Amino acid sequence: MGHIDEQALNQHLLRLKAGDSSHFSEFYALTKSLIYYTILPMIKDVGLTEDLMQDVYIKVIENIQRKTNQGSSIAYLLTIARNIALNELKKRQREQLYDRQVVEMSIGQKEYIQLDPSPIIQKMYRLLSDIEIEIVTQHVLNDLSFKEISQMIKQPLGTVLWRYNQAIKKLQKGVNPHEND
Amino acid sequence: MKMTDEQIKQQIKDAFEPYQPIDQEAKTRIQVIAAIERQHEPKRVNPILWRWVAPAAFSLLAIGIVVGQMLTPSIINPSSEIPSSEAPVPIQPVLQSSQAVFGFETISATTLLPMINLSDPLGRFDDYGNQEDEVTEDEIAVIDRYLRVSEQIIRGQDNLEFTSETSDLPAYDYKETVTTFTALGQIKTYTYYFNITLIGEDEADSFTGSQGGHSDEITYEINGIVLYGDQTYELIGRKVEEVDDDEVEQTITTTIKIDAQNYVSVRHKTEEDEESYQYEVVENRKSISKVKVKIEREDDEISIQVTSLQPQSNEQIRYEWNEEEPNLIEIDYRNQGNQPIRIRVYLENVEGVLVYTYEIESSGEKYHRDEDRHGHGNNRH
Repeated sequence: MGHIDEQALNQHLLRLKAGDSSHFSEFYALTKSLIYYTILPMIKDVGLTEDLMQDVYIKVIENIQRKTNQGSSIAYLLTIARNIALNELKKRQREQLYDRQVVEMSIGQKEYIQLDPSPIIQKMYRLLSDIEIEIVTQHVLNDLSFKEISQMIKQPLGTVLWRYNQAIKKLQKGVNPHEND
Repeated sequence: MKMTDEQIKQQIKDAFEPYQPIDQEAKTRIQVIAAIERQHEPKRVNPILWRWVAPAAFSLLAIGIVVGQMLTPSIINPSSEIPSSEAPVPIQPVLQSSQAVFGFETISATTLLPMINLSDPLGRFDDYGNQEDEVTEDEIAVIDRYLRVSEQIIRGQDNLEFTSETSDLPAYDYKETVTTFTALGQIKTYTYYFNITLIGEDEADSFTGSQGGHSDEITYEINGIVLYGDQTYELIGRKVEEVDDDEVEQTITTTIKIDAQNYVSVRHKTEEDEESYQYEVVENRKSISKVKVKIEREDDEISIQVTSLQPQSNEQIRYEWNEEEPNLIEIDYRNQGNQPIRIRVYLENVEGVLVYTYEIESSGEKYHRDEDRHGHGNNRH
């Protein structure tokens, strides 16, 4: 958890764009938490998150020639991670729609929080909308600025700020400070 | 007892702490190397064919893109743009497509229309003659009006959603709706119907001031109407691209007219190191206000400077946003007496209405204006 060094990230992306994968382990170490904490709160499944992380890195390479030096590299990375997580969620919804029984057999064990349901996590998923969860977790776990979140989720900065404040207010009302004691 | 923001954040961090990504670097690396190899497989390009066909294809594409950007919704991902050429682009405009600039100009010009015909006597630069280290209600109204325009720029094109539809008015070929959101997420919708004409290189006239007559200019004109609430205004738009060697200078001008004598014009200009909007308010054919809104960037910070060009005065407003304090906007205001005055604006959601509280640092005086400030003056406290 914590904010990423964007300059270092830019350097790594430039190298990868040029076809140089010799520093991939550093790139992976730099970005794995960022990607992990983007997908995990959305997917709510630890194992599936690990699988999807690989898809993110491949997608980063597949799209890298289209990335210019302008624009935030963090937003570039997270937009890909987020889109992959959203696609996975859509896939799940479709599967549930067409064959609930099959879904229960195939990915049923992975469905819904393999995360330990601590009081705060339970309340987050109970009280907040999906987009509010994304904003809160990106700000808190990945230490992203509201501007970076706004670029990633393609919503106005003012809307992101407002949603964040609303989410915190909801959690303040719903969380007992001694509940974790 | 209510928990603080920090306590909530700490609880979330603690709850996620046990979950750490396992290291799959080696496994991922193999797939990444394969993806890189696929990326760098040689592509067969015929250089002669490219040299002759590409410019022709580009010309056709450019026309398509310009028209398309004005007509169709385009999702621009700021972090994954496709470079238009190999030449570096000196600045990155806040609004990255012609469609977004045109939409923003329409909205902001409509926002300034109440300055005409004294329907809102406040909110225009004027010779207040204030030399003191204080701010009058009139000045707050001006600061407030341009804050609204500046907020639209700051929120960028993510705050504009475009929908293209088949025109249901026979006089116009195209119909487009632009939706914008307030800081509270409330929706405002503008609908415009229009026709587009490619004027070409030699037909550029003096509409955009000094742009006429250049041999490397491409000009498009839009004529139509804009519907906002129960009002209908005439809409005229023009985009001029001036190509000089490798540099492209672009000007987009939008005029929203109440009638032929009363209108607001906005001109957006990007040059190598500057991006600006210039607003002109014309009342009874007389220009009553000209303002330059300049966008400045330093690292990740964006500030907006508003300077009155007419009436000529020393007045200048500088708005600064700090993302760490989302509900605060800081303003440096210089009045006629060139007195620097610091103003803080606090944004607050009061029962679903966004309230802006202007606090003058030197005097502690406060002025409140709600989100729907349009023509209602303010409430001084």
